[in-house]
Amino acid sequence: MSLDVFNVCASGMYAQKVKMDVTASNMANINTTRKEDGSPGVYVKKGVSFESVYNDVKRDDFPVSNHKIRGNKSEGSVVLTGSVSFGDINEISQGVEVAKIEDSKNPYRVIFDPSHPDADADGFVKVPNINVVEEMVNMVTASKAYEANATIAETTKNMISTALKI
Amino acid sequence: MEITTQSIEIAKLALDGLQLRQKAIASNTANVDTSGYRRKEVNFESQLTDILNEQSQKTRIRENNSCGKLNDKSKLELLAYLGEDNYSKFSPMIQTDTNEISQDGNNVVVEKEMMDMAQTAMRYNVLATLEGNMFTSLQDVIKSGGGN
Repeated sequence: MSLDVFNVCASGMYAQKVKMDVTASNMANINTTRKEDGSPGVYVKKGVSFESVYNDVKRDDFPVSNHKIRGNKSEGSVVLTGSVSFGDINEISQGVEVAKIEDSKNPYRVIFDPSHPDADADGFVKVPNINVVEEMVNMVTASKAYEANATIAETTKNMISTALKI
Repeated sequence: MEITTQSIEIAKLALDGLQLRQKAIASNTANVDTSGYRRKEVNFESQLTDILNEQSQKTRIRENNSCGKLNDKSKLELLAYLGEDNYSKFSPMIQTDTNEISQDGNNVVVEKEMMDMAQTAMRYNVLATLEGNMFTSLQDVIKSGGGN
């Protein structure tokens, strides 16, 4: 009986948890205008991207050129980057990994608030470019995707316990 | 006489196929946010039909006992064909769904995956229970048969 369905589900749950952490960090820093050391500097919004992981144990004909390889090719796993070309590999992925946590390319917006301690001479302040609605949407998608993965793990557990009754 | 029946063998293969399908569903769901990921499907039902058809063909040949009319070479070939294990041919197919439904290239629909999951689990549970029942009745036969 192969139990790697649980690993796949766990990888999905972990990835969604990372997304949730990043969303929480964005929300917590919605008004942050200084860095950790107290020097002025606006908090930069973070985003997560994922990549799927494929097992490369059995295959020699795996199209390597388009993919990032982690570890030894003969025994390790292959991590596919975001290119579309990998879609045609007829192989079930071993789950998902967090590819990177990226800084937003559009990090701040400027508001007028002369009473703010970090306001410049004209009364303008740079604040993080965080959209509450967007973060809320990310939060809900992450939590629902987490739930979907957990449901699959639960159902698989039921399947296995039924099989044990044979 | 064979101790396992065709139903037991076929149910076994179907359970394997369903288990692989469950894994495909899990990996599709895990990759729901991966850009460029295309969902994978597991197909095995048509293979089971083929195996069943071939099996019944063999039974027909055996019943007609047509071996006698053949020369030695064809007879050997036929016997080899009849003795061949159909069940080991079974290998579920993994296919990629290439439908484009969103801009980032990902075509996983969670609703569909959850429905597929429910269906797969239901079928798995039904088959596993049936398989258990078949073995129970086999056990009854073993217990009550023979003796005095």
